[in-house]
Amino acid sequence: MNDRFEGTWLGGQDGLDAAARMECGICWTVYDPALGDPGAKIAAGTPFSALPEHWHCPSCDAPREKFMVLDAAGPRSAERAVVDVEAQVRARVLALENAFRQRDPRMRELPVYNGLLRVEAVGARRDGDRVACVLVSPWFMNIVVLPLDPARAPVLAEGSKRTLRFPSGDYEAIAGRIDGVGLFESVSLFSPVFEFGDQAAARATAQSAADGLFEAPASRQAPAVVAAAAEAPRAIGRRELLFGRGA
Amino acid sequence: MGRQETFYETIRRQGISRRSFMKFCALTAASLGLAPEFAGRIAHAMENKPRVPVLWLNGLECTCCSESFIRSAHPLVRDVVLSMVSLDYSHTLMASAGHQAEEILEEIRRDYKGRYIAAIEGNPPLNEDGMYCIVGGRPFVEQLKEVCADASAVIAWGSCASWGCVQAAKPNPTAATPIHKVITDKPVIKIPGCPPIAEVMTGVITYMVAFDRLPELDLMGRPKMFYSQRIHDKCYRRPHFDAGQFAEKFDDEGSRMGYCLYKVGCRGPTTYNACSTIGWNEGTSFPIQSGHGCIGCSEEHFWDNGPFYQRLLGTRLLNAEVNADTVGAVTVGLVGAGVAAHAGLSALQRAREKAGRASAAPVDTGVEG
Repeated sequence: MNDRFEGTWLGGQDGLDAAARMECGICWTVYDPALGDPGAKIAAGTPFSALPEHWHCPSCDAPREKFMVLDAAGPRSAERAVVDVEAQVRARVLALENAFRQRDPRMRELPVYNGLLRVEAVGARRDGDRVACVLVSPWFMNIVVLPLDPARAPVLAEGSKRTLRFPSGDYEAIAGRIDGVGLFESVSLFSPVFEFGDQAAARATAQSAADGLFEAPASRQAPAVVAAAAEAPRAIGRRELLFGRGA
Repeated sequence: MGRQETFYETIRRQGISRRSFMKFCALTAASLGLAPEFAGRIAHAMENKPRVPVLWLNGLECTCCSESFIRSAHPLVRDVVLSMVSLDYSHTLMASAGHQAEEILEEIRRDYKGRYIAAIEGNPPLNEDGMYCIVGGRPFVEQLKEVCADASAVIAWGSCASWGCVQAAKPNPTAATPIHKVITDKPVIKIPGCPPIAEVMTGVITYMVAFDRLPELDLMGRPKMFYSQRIHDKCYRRPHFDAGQFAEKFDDEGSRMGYCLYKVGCRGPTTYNACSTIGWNEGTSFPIQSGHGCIGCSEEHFWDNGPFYQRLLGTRLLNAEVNADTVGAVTVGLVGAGVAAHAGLSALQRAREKAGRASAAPVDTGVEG
């Protein structure tokens, strides 16, 4: 394509969203992929980038390079990325629920089991490159934190503890491992869970804990702390450095 | 009476450096779950306040509390605390004996009326007019009542003083009775455990001396800063419990893998103590870490709670929930959304408090050794 300083990303079509509506830079005619261009026999659903070479503005005959993005593609891609991440979060949480559901039969025979409850992840949300939720089960209720991408999980020994920072404060979490999820870190809220008479009560409690986790105590929270809250602090102490235990 | 030496003057006289002193203050603030800035307040209080006399009485007991106390993790702690609290009377530790020793009791009661701490190790047997425990020719229960009458605060060291422990186990022939059932006119701070963790003992005393007030207590009279969480909540084997991985018996594959010891009788889920956070012997280990379940030594009636190697039953688990400050949460099933929201937030709060303490514990915040 040509490289004039105008039009559609200098004529390049990389990164142009399939659903992006384009506007003629000359006469403001809008090309909407959802409608296509019946006059030029372009079927509805054709993305701007898939238009044939010979296509011109239906109103003023301006070449396609003159078109500019009407619905900004940037936000649109970001939005799509959000959708992807949300799907990723959902997948992780689903895997978490499934992993613990599989453990359910072997817990059922034990006196710590509250048969009125079932495994459910409540209030899952993404926080940087980790996913946090409150996991309800018939034998515990924990804050569970997972790496969003299991391939990039921090290296933690099972049973080791470290402090996780959330807007509401610091929590000491214990690392564990379970098939189908890999590394997870948990902060115990309840165990056993005989307080709860039904799943709704447990869910409501879990929801309030999940919301509270991300609520900064407004009175004393300094802005800097809020900014730092997105990531778990992992400053390497002098001792760790000297003994090679860092990162 | 001359001006009483401050704690700081005492330790300086004993050749302890200011650096060590400040380190002690920081460690103590950390073990109490206080923010670092409290180290300064502790230091200030110690430098300026006269030492607080402590009368340490021993009833029916085995001295494990004293043994634990003088083996506090930080090398300075025992010197510090022993000089700080001006331990004026203690069977086990004092040099004097006989009538000379008993005179100290009288003297402190007279000179420091209402300003000394009564620390009680063990408990009085009440059967046969207290004849099962005689101190200086008189039943221990009399000495106990006299000393506590003029004390500013009463600390019940260990499970004996707090709950009764082994001498109160069924059928309790001597009618060994915990302190709070004998001393009913003032709050008794219970520091249960058999023995209690040394850092907990020194921490509580330091807090009382430095801030001139009792630590915040839970419904059972235990300091919240150390007894608000169960062993189970902070156990490093907890992920195995959550994942349903158990040692079925000692020496099986699961036990070698370090799985949860619940099925071989661990009392972690019902025991409120700080072992899984602070650890023992300078944080080296604690029972579960050495492969044995918790026996729940800091819980009431722990000798009568069934065989140590039999798994916990549901009713006891339920009781454990009701025992703690989670009473508000117990009715969640019945009352509704407002209660549920409160229960969630207070559970979060409990989890958060402990993190503050743990992050400053002797072990680095990152990876446990």
